[in-house]
Amino acid sequence: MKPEDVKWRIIDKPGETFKVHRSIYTDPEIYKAELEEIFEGNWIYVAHDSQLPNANDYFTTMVGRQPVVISRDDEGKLHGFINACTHRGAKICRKKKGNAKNWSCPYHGWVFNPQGEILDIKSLDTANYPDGFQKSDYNLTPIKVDSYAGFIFASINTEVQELEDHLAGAKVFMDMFSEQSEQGLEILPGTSVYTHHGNWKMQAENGVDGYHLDVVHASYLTLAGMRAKEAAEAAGGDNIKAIQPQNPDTTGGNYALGNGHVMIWIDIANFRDRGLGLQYDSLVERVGEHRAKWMAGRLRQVMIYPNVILFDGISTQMRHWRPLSQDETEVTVNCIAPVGEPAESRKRRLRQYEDFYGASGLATPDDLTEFDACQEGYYGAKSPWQDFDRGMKSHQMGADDDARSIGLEPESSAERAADESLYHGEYRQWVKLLSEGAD
Amino acid sequence: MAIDLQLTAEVTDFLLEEADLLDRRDWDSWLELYEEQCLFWIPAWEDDDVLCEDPDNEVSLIYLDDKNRLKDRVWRINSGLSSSLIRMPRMAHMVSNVRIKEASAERILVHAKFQANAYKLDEHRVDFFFGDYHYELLPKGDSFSIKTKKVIIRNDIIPRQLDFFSV
Repeated sequence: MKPEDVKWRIIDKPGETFKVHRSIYTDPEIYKAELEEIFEGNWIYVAHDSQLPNANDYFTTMVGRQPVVISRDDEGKLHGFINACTHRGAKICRKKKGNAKNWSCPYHGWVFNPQGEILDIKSLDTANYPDGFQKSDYNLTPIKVDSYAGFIFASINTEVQELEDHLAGAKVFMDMFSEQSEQGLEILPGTSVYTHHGNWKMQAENGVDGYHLDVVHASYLTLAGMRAKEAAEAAGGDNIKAIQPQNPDTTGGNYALGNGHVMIWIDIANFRDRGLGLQYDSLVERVGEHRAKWMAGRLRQVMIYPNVILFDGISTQMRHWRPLSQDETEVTVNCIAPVGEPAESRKRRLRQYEDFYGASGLATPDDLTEFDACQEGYYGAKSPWQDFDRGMKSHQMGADDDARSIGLEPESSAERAADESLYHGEYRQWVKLLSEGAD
Repeated sequence: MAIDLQLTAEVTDFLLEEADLLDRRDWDSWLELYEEQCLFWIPAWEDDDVLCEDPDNEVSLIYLDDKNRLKDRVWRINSGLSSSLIRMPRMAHMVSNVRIKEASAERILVHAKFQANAYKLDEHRVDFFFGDYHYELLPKGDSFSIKTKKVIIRNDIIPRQLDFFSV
């Protein structure tokens, strides 16, 4: 796609207006360019360390349209390959995850190791390959894989910039997330996958949208209040203790973290009811009061562009997605938790996770219904523009005092979680990637 | 094992009654089938053939260990505050393969298979979940009440929504 076919769809006039043209959610040509430049040209979150902890573990997934396998060799190093036999293209690793010292292609029996090297070609001695044939030309096709703070990313583009440079300001919050436990974090058993009608970019917007909270999740927030009252009257056992964030329209804040990554934060009234909140006093001892407040007392939702959000608020969730078409998206969700946390905290974390998140919770189905409604509305081409101007007057470039207090140097800061100015960071990266490609 | 045809017929009728109440959206009558201290549980899957059977350490799709939490979900439908529940799907639950696994004066353990079909008005599409019901029923008068309902969903990629009425 030519840069001039992309750039007109975003109107970026700092201090005046920031608009996107709704064709970005519906145009098949845009979708194709996004797959090439964003999902297959940039870093994509694929897994957490705890999902392949041991030597010779592997994990299969998709990066954009392409099947990949992530492996850990016997020295603990991560590798990634296109999950297709170099012989006739059959997927080699068929299961979601496993452990194997070598991988034998189920089609014609070629054998590879977790470093991607070809070990055996069946009946090579009778193959009559031409003179130029080199077995080593048939190693698996590598992709780029790296991890930060236990979060594993992959890129089809082996020329992509280093992961740490790509993550930019998001690293501050990834560190904060992983510091919940001195023993690290683990994905808890039990993965849920759901699909919805609606362009993938709504996933990247809505998880950091403070403005929708009290409207879309009115039923959840009302129930949270009713349960708190019920518990106070000691009428019944509320074993969940629904989390009650403060008003995002007037409190909290958001940051654009660079390279399209963005986050929102809001203080939580009853944070001592959270899994980590139950351990608050020992957390203060370990990391100090200010950092403990950020870690346990503040809802933080950090979107690492383009495909994952680290949720630490209602509970702790990793949510990542891949587009199935311009109109359909597939989402994978996991509960992530501190290794070795007390049983009481683990149980509380799980119940709060199930209560709110996922397509079987009390909140996510309402978000997904709105994505469907937006996707329908986006086809109303006579009404093509929408703005992200909320908060523009108080939006500031660079760090505010809260950012400085945790050593964060964001691209921009906003003083309310409901402000929409963080999307400028997202869509500036979108324009950059589609018109210039990944660095 | 000798089959108690009378008990099997009574239990089957009870399960079909629950299915019909869900299809007719008679939530209040549906709630009456449950004990105050009940468990409604849909475990998540960990891998192809590995179900998460330890709800205190592993994720469930739904884990409600108190009737008040079932009432929460009914309240949410009635509240009009949840956009996913405004246009409710038209549902037809099929229940079959009903087998009594254990029966005593105190409780009856029942396994059954289900398919719950949904026509979704927003999306103009048909979805269904299928799988297994595991019940712990308590004798109550000339019928039963539900102490535990564990639902194992075998097609667990969720199209937009999964709630108590979806299975």
